[in-house]
Amino acid sequence: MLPTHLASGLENSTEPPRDAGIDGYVLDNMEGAVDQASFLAKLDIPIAIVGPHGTGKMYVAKVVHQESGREPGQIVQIDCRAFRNRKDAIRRIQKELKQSEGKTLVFKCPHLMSADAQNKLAKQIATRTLADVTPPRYLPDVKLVALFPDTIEKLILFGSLTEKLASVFAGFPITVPPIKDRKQAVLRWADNILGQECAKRALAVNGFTAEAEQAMLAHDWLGNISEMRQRIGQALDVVDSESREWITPLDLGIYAGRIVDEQAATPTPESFLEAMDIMPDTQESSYNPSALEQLDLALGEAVNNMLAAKLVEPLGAWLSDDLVLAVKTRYRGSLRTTAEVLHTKPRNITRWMPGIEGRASARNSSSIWNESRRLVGEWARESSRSSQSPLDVSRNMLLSHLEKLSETLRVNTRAKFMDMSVPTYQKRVKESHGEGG
Amino acid sequence: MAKGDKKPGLQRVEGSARKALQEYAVEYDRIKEEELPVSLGFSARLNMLWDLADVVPSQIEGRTLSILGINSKWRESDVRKWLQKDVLPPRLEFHNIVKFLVGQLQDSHNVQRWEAFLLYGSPIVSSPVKHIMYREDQSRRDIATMIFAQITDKYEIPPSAYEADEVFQRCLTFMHKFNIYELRDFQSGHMEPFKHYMFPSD
Repeated sequence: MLPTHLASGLENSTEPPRDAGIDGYVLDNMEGAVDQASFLAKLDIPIAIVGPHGTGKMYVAKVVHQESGREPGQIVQIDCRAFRNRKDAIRRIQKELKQSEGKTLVFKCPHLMSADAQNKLAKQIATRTLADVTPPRYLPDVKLVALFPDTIEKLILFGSLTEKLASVFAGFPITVPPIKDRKQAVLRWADNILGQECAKRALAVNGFTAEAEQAMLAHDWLGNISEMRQRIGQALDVVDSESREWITPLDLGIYAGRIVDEQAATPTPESFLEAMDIMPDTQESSYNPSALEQLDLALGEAVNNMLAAKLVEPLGAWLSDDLVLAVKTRYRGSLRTTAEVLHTKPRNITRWMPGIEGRASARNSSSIWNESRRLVGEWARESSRSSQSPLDVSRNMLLSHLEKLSETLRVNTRAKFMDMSVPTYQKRVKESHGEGG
Repeated sequence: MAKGDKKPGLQRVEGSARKALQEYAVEYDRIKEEELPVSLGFSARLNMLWDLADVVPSQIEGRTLSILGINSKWRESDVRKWLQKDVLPPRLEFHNIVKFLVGQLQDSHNVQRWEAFLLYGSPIVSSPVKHIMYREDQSRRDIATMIFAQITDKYEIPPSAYEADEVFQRCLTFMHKFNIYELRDFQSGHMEPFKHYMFPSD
């Protein structure tokens, strides 16, 4: 039996947890990432935070900022995917560096900038000297953090990250592991997120059913913590707290076709030598499909599930609706930027909004569409600006799934799925064949 | 091992014979590099060690010139390359720099491990500061205290039988190995291995 004074010691601990004050996140050490962030925060070393989408890299960056003793609100996110060109990148970075005294600058995906912009930033960080300033001046007292979706070595190998920029951030990178590599943390995160989301909605839910816990342990969580938060949020949105006290796999949408066995739910045991840190770390990371690749699969599944349920819904319109909303959210409601990213005019976005809102109820209540909507959001968040309109890219994906069914599905049904008239549908098919060569 | 036995792990693929020396020469010539590969992040790690040693000002306060005051034989351009361009100092110089800096750190550190870490970085070389990072966190220390109390209570180990600080550090180390970050991560099945690791002679 544990002495009472010790048992109460934790609850009454006077020291706040390291992530106290960081909203929307879960207390977790993330396999040592938080320890490392806290340690490096006090040193003058540029920090790379490496991990796939949704693993909580920004959370770790916030820990760095907090632990470095800088003022709250002095953390600046620089989304390098949003730069229009090399000039824009250099101009914006110069501006931020000059006024960075006492701040933490977080560069999101700096490997997506042009090589010139990367090298110019690298030189300033390596020498701690501002460029284009006469007389030469040291950088202000700034904490520099870069978020990368993959290891620095891989990004160099793929040709996206220059060696010079890699070098300044490669000192002691913090790795934030994906959920699939830390199954032991799944239920801890799920419980904590459920608590936070319930509090946000003023809901009282007891927890997850045993089946839901098994399903969560067996699930791949390719979208990581973001996906978990989204699924739990969606589950709470459909739960009627008066009649339902437990979250089921059905509420989470991760039940379909899964046979949950104990083997899959158990994390791969670590050998004793590995646990003792005697074995070298030789773990190879496996292939992770991009959000766009996952969306492509999800659209195919949505069409087939609709047909199996004998439903014909305007998936083409839903797809565009969710994409417009996701891009608008990513760019904090800016019509101009949303329009630029979608290759259209701001007035078109305004014109589309009543229709998008009018379809919201049907779109959001369709469980078949849930996964596609989630992946549209993820794609919008992770992709950089492209020369091709994302609206066209996604519509063509859906079109190609429908065309695969052309022998069994009449053209007017296919057109209904796209929310188009038959002539427009046929014109689109012709155009897409033309694009395909 | 009996005479003539092959060393384990060094057997050739069945049927393959040792190549002629000339073939090895060709192979060596093919794979050899004219320059050493860049030690990515070396300068950042070296600066980190200078930061930890706390003997010269930071990079934005004139670190390079201060370092020249430690050894006047160093050239400014060389020091800048070490600190900014991932260029390695000559082997002996490198060893002496690391030995000097590690000597300024509070805990006992291994000079060779630091040299390897500065050269290759993590995860090729596990970080020489990993254990310090983990032990800094007060909430983890609280959990270790509770585990310590549970084990001494369950196995009735009297305080006279152990050196508390040493056992406490072992507990923290083992928590780290087992990914124990919250009290709920510690299961009843952990008691036995923890007991054996924390009290090995018991």
